[in-house]
Amino acid sequence: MRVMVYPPTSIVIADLIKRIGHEPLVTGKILRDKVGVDLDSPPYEITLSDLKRSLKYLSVETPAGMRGRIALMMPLIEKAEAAIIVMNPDFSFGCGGCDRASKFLIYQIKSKGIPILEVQYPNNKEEAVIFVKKIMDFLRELGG
Amino acid sequence: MEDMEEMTYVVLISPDSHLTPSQAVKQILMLKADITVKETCFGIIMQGKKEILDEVIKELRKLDEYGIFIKERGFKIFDNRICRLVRKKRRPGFHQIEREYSSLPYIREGLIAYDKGIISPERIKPKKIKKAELERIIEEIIDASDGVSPN
Repeated sequence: MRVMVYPPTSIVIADLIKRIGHEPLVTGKILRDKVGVDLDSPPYEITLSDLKRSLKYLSVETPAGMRGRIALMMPLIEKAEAAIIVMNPDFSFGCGGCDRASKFLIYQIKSKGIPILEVQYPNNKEEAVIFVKKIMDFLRELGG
Repeated sequence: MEDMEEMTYVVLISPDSHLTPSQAVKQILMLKADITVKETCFGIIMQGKKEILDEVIKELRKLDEYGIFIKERGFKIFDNRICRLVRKKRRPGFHQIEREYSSLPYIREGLIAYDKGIISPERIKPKKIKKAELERIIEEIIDASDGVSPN
């Protein structure tokens, strides 16, 4: 089963999904197609087809940064059959991210009607035990 | 056809692991698999055919089952667009790796606890009671004290 990961660069959750035998949907999957194209700095540099694709979800007045991010991530959400969302991702906003785009992506995942698990990043051993147990139980329920 | 595709994987080795990135690279080279391996500060990067990489990952996990974390990477090894040496600054994606690298020892403990079946010490939330139930408890306490005020 294809499981969407949020934040889509999370290595811990992607690994846990792979351990159970499901397919993690991470940014590497879509970036692989983009790095082959002759762009100077993917994924920051987007193409005209990306902007056209984002118009399916956003209006033309939306800032280009958000449209670029949505165009990049939406193919993953379209493929997703389940999702694991981390609710306190430190680096999904700030200078390297976009909080509005992140919120829109979570909204899109939630409105898709697929099984979703919401967890928090662990900061100690006890939280990690709960974190791993919740994710593993969720993945096994999906049929792993 | 996906098995024949060229893939790149990032391998993170937990900081509390007995395995070092250089040891992991040596072990992979000893397998004589037809892949490219690069040692990094946080682990290794591997590139090759998917079916070969899957076999290498199986062997790699035997070295430290709970301390090795793997994810697919978009960029290939030695791609100048993401190389820190060429960019002269941190590369995109490193902040997320740095964030998760620090929590890998906790994740290891979580995985060991899950495999051993240790019950998670999740906080047991007190059960909510209804208004009628609360009134009944108060009445019982008043009846027990025969309406005598503690003062």
